[in-house]
Amino acid sequence: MKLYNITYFLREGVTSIFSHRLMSIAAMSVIMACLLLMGSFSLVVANIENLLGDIEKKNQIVAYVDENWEYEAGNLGVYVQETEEVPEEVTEETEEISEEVTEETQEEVTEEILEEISEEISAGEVDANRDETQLINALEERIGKEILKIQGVDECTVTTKTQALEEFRKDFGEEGEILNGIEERNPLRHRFTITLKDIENTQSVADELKKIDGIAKVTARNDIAEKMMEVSDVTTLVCTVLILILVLVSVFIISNTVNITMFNRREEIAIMKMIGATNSFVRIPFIVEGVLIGLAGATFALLLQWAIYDYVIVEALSTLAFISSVPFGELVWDIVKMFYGVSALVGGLGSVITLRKFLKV
Amino acid sequence: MVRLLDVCKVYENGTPALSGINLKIDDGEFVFLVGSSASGKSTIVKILTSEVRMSSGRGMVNGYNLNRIKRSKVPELRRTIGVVFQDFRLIDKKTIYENVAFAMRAVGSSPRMIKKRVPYVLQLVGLDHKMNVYPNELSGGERQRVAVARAIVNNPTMIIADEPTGNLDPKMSVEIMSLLEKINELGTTVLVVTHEKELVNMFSKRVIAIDSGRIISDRTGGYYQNDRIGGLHRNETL
Repeated sequence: MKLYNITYFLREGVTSIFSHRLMSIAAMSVIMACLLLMGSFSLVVANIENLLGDIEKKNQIVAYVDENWEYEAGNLGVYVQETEEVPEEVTEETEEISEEVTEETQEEVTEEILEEISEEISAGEVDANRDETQLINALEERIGKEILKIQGVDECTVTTKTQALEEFRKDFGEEGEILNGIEERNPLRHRFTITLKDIENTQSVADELKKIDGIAKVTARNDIAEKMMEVSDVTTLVCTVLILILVLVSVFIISNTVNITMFNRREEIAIMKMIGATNSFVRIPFIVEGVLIGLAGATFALLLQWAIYDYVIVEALSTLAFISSVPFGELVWDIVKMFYGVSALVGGLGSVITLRKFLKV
Repeated sequence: MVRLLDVCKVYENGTPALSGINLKIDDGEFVFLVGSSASGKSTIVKILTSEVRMSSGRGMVNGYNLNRIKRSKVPELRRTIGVVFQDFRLIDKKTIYENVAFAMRAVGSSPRMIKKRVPYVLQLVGLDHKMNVYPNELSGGERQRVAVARAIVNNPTMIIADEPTGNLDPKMSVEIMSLLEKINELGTTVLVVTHEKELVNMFSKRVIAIDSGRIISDRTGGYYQNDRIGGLHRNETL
């Protein structure tokens, strides 16, 4: 195609939009309305999926480590014992130092001795922390690795019984003191918290976990998982059907609008054909016009969608504390692609399909 | 050049339009095709421009076989024919210049060619001073002259004028007919479809009369000299 023809087609397309202002505005409005409906629906779907994803992440399996297994497992038992002995050593050392201090007169207590005390206490804490780390490493090495081998497991985190007690204490808040003294006979167990790749695998992963040596108990909320899957399936089905219906309705409305535009210009098309214009020569300016109208409609729809989403949907969702909305920025490229793709396609195709009957001259 | 041999046309709804038409028009001829309403004149024009296909028979126009021509080749055939309509068929949203230039663009002429040719053709029809006005600002005669300019701008082999003076007063009609005669003198074949007897009688040209889808007379000179031909009386309007 020659350059002057391309220029001509573009110029004709643009001129035609302004020459048939009312019809252009009508077509643009129809495209805009359809895109807005489709866009709003897609955004709602995106938010529902986001919400389901959040809930999915929160649906974790907890596997508790067998208490007896720790002692039978040699090294692991040593680690635990060392961990338990550390505070005692620190206490004994502190007591000895205290006795030394009381033997001397209060005046003779020097800053040097105080420094010595604090250094020794810190050394004891460091030892305790090191042992805790070794315990975590051992748990991860012996049980964690086995868990990660199970199909469907996304990640697993270990919590020692000491950490669990700390968390428990935090849960009590200011009344956490009532747990003082329980450290030596900590009734809690080491545990693994397992996140799944897909909520669908809850039951199978739970079954596999029970088979691992050292795992005493597994808790999984299968009922929640099943409900979630049902909700997810129904949402996907309803959304797909509604979007399909919406696309069909859009194509129908747009094709009718284009049809009216063409009917108003049938004489012009007939003249073109009678003077020897080829079908493509007649068609291209109409396609250019259709695509441009579509793109303009998409631009307006995008801006409106943005405003509606940010100022209506997000505002409305923010009143519900348990629902977090997806920011428009995260979805904007998908919306842009959908809007411009659909509008250009529908505008162009609408022109081509409708033109066919007017070209039979 | 036109050759029609035993051409019949029956429309899809069963209406017979032409039966056994034999017609031969050579290059450079000036021919009037006359007949009453629904006699089949317009069907002949539509067959010549390949707007409709004949039901039977054979036909050839400017080297294109009407029986075998592909849809994609129809624009090429139409470029060899310039058509002038009774209702002018100008695009109201384009200026006179653009209306004529549009016909050149449709056949792929370059902008340089268009700039050179359009003013020349508008000068030929006496409208070079109104290049930038719109059709609705012109009189009927002027609009028809624009239509003639558009028809000849691509140098067609033949001009088909379908009732070109139907919407014009007698003076304008003569003007348009004289213009067509001038174009014919330059070598272009001209086929004028009309029912205006005075006009036909004014120009001593070949006249083909058609009635009920059949050619009833083909002779040079005034068609209305006989009292009754093909069921028509001397003073009746065809």
